Amino acid sequence: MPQFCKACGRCIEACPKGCITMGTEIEPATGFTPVILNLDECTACGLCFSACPEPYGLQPTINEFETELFDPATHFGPRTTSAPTPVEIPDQQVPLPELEPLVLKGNHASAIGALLAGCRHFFGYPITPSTEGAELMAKLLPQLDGVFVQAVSEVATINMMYGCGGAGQRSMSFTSSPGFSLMVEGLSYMIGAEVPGVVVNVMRGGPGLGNIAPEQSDIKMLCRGLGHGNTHAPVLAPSTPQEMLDLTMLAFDLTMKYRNPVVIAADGFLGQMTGRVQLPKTLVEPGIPAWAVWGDEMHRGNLISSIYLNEQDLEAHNIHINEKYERMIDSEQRADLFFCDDAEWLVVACNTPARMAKGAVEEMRKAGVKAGLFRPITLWPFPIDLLVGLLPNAKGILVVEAGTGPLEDELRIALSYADVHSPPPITNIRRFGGILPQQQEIVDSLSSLVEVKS
Amino acid sequence: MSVATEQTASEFQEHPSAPLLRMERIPHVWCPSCGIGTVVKCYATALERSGVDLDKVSVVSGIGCSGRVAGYMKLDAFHATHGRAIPFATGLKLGRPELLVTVISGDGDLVGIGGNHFIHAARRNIDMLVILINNFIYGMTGGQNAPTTPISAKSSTMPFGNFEEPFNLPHLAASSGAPYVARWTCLHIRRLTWAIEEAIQRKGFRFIEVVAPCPTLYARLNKLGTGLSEMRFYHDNAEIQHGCDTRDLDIGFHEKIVCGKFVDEERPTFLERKDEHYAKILGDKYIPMGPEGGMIHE
Ligand SMILES: Cc1ncc(C[n+]2csc(CCOP(=O)(O)OP(=O)(O)O)c2C)c(N)n1
Ligand code: SF4
Ligand code: SF4
Ligand code: SF4
Ligand SMILES: [Mg+2]
Repeated sequence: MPQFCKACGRCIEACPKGCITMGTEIEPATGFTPVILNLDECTACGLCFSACPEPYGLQPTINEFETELFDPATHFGPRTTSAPTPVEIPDQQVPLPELEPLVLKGNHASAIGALLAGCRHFFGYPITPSTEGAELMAKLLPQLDGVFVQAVSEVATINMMYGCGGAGQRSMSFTSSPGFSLMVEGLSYMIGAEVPGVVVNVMRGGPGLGNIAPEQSDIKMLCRGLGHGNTHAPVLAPSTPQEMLDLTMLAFDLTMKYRNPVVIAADGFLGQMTGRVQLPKTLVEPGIPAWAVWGDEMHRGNLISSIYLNEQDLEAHNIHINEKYERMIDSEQRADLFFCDDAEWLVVACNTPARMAKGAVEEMRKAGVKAGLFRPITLWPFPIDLLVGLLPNAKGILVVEAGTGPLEDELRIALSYADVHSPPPITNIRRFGGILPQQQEIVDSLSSLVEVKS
Repeated sequence: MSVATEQTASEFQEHPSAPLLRMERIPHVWCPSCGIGTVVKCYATALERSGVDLDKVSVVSGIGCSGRVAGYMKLDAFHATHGRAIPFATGLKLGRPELLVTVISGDGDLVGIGGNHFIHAARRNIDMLVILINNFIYGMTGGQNAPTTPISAKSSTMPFGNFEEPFNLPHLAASSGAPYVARWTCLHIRRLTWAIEEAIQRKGFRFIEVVAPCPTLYARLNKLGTGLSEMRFYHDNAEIQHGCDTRDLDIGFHEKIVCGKFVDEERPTFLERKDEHYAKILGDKYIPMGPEGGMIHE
């Protein structure tokens, strides 16, 4: 009993015989001073038991009073029901009939990707240039056995996703930079509680309200600042409407596999542009993960929580999370390599700027310059393993971004962790405020690099 | 207008609201026949008529079409974060208690994402005048559902019609503690101007809802015609009932709109309560903050 007494004193008040007094010795397990029982006068009236608010505090013994701690089973027998170990109900792949490619807006392609990946729960808050995704979901989900809710803010959105994901369901949202800022608190909780969910951030110009034109400056927040604590999430960077669909499907795969949110970093241009999109060969019919708080007998033992008050427990939890991050770093690095095999001049770019960079590389190749485009598809984990092999040939790296340098930061951090301490010279083209780097700028920059070298 | 065309540019008379507008930023972004401009005009007129020192007036907006109001006023103007105009204004008022702090913003901004701030500022009775432009929709982002969208009205995120219960804003404000609560439409320009003028003279959390047409989105999505037909609708369907029980002020889709002044009482403001409380508890030790906002090194 002493370990469970919180010294509230209620039993002292309750006892008509004055058997109970406040203790003076501190109980090491709790830091409280448990009450002392002197049962000479005790009439076994039981008033102190009723008074005690502690579930394992004062309670009657069968034969005589004692102050030993009891296993509740001694009094109440073994628990009458025990939750069985939950088993995973796996997803199913259902074949899709072959269709002609569709012509879709990037945001619409992503929404369709989510539906094909088995997402039937959409929570979101309007923000340009992402809203078309939500609007399509509002139209389609009521006809697809799903639910669309316009939350009252991105804070509400991410917490709806936290709840829905906690039940093992696939949920998603579309947002843009200022809205994503509001989601990071919730994302930290989701990462801590290991809850899946997919957020598509159609990045726009910042800081503050900025404007609604495309920018990539959020890469810093997405890769290094997903809320407080030890947080990371896979960050996927599409550069075509087709990839908006494919990477959204991949995002659902990853989010369920790792029980960790996944972010799609698109940009305002990509969200709005239309392109041909081929639907996949199969769609996903989701199962129920074993860990889900699903609300039936089998899942009753599950708990979704990010609190670990005990330091050892929290350290162990972080070690477990870090192991997941390590696994992501080992197995999820992705990049698209365009003319990279023999490239002496590597352009590093993602999202829409990668489209201009691709044009520039083609132009340089025509002029006989060995240029190549290294396009990270995962920004976190940065696909450094794919890059390192290209470095011996490279005479220079040009990072092209519509942002103030966060992609270059990711590249430099990755190089440093890969122990590449003297990479080829890194230069950059940075435009921001909604202005995209143009093909000609990239060609000019590459040409002057080549000239200087030769 | 016909008079103006006969004048040369230098003969143009200055518009009566011009001293209060940042003319260099005009033309504004609002669509033809949008109701927001009317609110700006009424606010400007009310300010001038009230005789307040214009150097001591500030206007704060959140984000949205309505949120652009602050940017056009030649006053101490602030463009805050989406939904946060009220906490921003709270900070401003506490930083500079002598200012008349006005919040002019949209329905989505003030009672959607900002709903929590709205009720708490009313509860605390923070000294500010809140003019909420209710166009029943999220205008700026292209016509999504708002917490004010009437049942069955269409929006881009309720393409099959809205089924969520909307807020009754005067009731929300009154039950949260606002001591001054009124509702007008963009048709009632005189009464709206008088209401703003009157509210300027009151203290505490003063709330005026202005029902405004959004011809581009709300009216178009709901086939309600032009901005002009919206005005005709207000003309035929607005009912003035001063002192009406705020519980009876729901607005149905294309149904009557009850207007008037519903609450006008006195309640100590946040700062008055603070002064009274600490004076009682701390006695001589209490140092009240001056109207200029605490210690300033001149
Ligand atoms: C955090 C954040 N989320 C979303 C937005 C996008 N946004 C801008 S204005 C607005 C709604 C404005 O609606 P309302 O307040 O009714 O103003 P109106 O345009 O109708 O006058 C939204 C959602 C934003 N700017 N910031
Ligand atoms: S009533 Fe329970 S909790 Fe309170 S002092 Fe007694 S044993 Fe402790
Ligand atoms: S969209 Fe609607 S609210 Fe916005 S400026 Fe146009 S008419 Fe006014
Ligand atoms: S009411 Fe309309 S048409 Fe007439 S002057 Fe004003 S803006 Fe022009
Ligand atoms: Mg609105």
